[in-house]
Amino acid sequence: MRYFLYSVFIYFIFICKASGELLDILDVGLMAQGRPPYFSLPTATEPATGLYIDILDEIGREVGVKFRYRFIPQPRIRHLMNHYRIDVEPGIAEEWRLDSLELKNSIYSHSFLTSSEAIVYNPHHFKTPPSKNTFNTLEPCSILGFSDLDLEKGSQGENNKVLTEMQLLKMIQHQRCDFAVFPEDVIKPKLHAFGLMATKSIAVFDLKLRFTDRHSVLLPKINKAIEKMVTTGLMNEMINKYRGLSD
Amino acid sequence: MIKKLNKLNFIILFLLFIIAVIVAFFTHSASDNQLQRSEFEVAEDISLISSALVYNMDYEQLDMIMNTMIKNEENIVRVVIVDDVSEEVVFSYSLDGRGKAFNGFSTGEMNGHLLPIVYDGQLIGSVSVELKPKLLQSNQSYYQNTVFIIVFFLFVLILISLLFYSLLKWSVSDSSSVNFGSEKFIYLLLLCMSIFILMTVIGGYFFLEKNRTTIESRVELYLQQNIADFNRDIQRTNNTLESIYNQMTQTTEFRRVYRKLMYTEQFGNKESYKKDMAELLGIVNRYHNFGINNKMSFIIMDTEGNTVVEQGISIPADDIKKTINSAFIGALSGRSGLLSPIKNMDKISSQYHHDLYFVYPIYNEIGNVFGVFFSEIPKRPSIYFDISQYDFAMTGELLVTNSDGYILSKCRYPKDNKMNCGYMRSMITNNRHSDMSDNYLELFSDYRGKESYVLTSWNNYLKSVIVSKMDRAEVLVSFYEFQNGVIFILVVMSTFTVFTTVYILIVGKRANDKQVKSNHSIIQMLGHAAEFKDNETAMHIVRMSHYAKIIATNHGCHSAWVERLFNAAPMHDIGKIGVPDHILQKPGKLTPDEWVIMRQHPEFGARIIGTQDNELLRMAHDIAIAHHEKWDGSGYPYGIKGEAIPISARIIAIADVFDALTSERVYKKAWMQEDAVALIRSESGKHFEPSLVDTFVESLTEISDIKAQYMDKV
Repeated sequence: MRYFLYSVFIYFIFICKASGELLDILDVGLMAQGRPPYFSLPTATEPATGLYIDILDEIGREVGVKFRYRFIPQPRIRHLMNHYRIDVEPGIAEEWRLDSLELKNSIYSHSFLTSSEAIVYNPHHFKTPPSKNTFNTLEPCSILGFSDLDLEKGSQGENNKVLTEMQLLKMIQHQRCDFAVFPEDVIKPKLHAFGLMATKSIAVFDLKLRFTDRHSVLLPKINKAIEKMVTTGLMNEMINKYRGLSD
Repeated sequence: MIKKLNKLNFIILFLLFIIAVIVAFFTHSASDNQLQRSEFEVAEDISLISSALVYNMDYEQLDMIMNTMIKNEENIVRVVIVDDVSEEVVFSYSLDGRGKAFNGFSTGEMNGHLLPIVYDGQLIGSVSVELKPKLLQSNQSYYQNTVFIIVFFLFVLILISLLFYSLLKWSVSDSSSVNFGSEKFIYLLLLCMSIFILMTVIGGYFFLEKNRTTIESRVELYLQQNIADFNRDIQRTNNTLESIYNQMTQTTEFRRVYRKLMYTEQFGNKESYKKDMAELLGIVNRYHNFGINNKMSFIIMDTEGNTVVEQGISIPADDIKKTINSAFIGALSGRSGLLSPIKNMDKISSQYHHDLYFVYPIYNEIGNVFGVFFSEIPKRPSIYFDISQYDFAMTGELLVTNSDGYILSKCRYPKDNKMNCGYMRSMITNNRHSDMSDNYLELFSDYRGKESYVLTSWNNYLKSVIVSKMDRAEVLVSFYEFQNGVIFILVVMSTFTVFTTVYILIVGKRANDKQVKSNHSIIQMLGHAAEFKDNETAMHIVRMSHYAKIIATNHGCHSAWVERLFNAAPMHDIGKIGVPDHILQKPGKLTPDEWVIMRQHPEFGARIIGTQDNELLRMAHDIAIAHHEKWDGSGYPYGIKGEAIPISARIIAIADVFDALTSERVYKKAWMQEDAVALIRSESGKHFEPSLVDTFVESLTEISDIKAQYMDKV
């Protein structure tokens, strides 16, 4: 009996250690071209920065895991997560990940941010400021790998898929497509430079951290860390840092 | 004749011109054929072009680009692109509908050439390309063969037409003894046909041999290409492994763990060794995307040859130890590389399998080798192709043998359920002193005892013999089909030609004989008409015709000429039709004036017959006008003498006089033969040609027989 208990104890220690080792580094999938203010690409001298990165680093410190940031195309992030090659996708609303494998494999943290989405369009294309309904008959464009919003799905025009946000903005600027949906956080600083305009917010989403279901053990700790950040005001501080004080 | 020859020349020149145009056309067409790209080259292009799209998962764009590429590459049979993460087919194309993707997964074997798709140093997928077999691709030889056969048969056609034309012209010429329908004519015709058939058979044989050589050349290229593809893949495998192990072993972390393992292995702290081993496996496992993981078999040795780490069961450490000397020493000198394939029997499945191993030196911080890494090669498309993937066509395969010919790789037709393959001898194994770079196509029995076309090559990476082979029966299947077709056509064509010609010949001969007979009857009737007018009997012209024939034959004249004389003889007195009856049938002597008229009958005869192109009528004309001329020039109507008198007329003169003397007429009794002969002899050199008289005398026996046979009815 004593040997049995020893064996169970050793096995338990081994499992805990093995789990600990597995959870040591988590791969985070981020869009290849960066998406300020959420995340920016690392440079030769500086590591990757951004709101998501600050939040994840803080969570990592709290939970005792290390997040490794990998910049890859959006569809590949989802693909790799479906096959457990990437562990985390930050800033995701549950409504956006509805493929069968995603529904099966994904678990979500508590919301840590809200995202307000607006329609971006070229004002030269319209004589009068368009309403939300105007876009139903127009041709949208979006990024490959992004989930289409209801507005884009309902549009009668063909949805043009491109690889980067830069291409997307150029497409609208050159009137190759009529509109695209962007988070206000992302698009506001760029509107002027491209001569584009955005509607008022058309939808608001609760953004969460999406994990593969292999990390379900870790999820309560993550949520606890998020709650702590919210409670201590650290979360707001970080958001304000990247959004600006007005927000 | 000249006009006809000119016409013939024109036809020949025209045919030669047609041949030249055809040759120029086909040569031009053949030169338009571009060199065929290999499966490797096409797969490499697709891998490069598709990598960014596969990485971005832009499958819509991938589909468009691939379809455009396939349209431009006519020889593609299949293309399959597989995503490495999900192992799903992201693009598939199949010319014949084989192996298409279903629900994202391939429904068939990934044949053809398999290449990894790499983007930014990451393995993201693989592409498999299958092209049409090269045997079916190249049209150049087809065009050359077609030109060859067209030119050859046109040449034979022209030659044989000339032969037939000459033969026909010869058979109708005056001097020829080769008459249409004669035996000689038939023999010559059959000779011409035999030459034609012989030339066709020889041409067919050379054409078939050329076809066989072309097929063998193509097979040699095919086998060579297969070996080249394999060599290139092995080289790539070697390079890829070098990169991976370089990245793996030249890190501080790896060196630290390896040093700890060396220490703990030596001083026997098992717990620490296990811990360090787990750490090492963790490092190795980071390369799992390349198929290198902690379940893979490997051995790490220190510079003394002691095993520091031994992982996995599939690597036969003892075997490796026995065979690694050169590789181990090479690695200590800083050389990485592949070991020769090792064939082992799996204890569980009791089947032979072959494995490849890679050796890589482990460097310390100052660049000195302080360990050697022996690793099993993962059987993944990106790293190492299972050699059975190089199987091609119905029986083609690639084998790896050692220098004794023992097959180290999988074979397509194992001898037993243990997957044993035995030995495969080749040029290199048979003659170890041969130049290994100078490989050429050979034909001998393979490991099954089946006759095969074999090409061998020495692979320096594997230190083994690479054998690319294909069954002779498969290689030559199209050749045999073609050969049977050609033989069948030749036999049918020759049989048809022979039978048709013989049939035409028989029918033609009969028609000709009938015509000749008919002509002779008409001539005889005309002769009779004249004789009747002169109160002579019908038998006169029969007898004198035979006499003339006998004299001419015995005098040495040509049989065809004699035959013509026999036919023309009845018309010798046709001119008597122009002499009034009161002169011709006058019972008494003729007056001088009447003689003048009477002596005009040769000219009347000549005028009746006229100047004809026909040989027979020309001879009849000569006889009619000159049969009353005399050797000494005292005859009529022109008084010509000697050899100026046509020989036909000279012979007829003797025959006519002899029969006239020995026949009874209303105005005279028949002479005794001896008296008639005596008269003719006495006229030798005067009326008659002496030599002909001699011949006549020598022929009296035959002449008497004729006389007896064709006596006048009383």
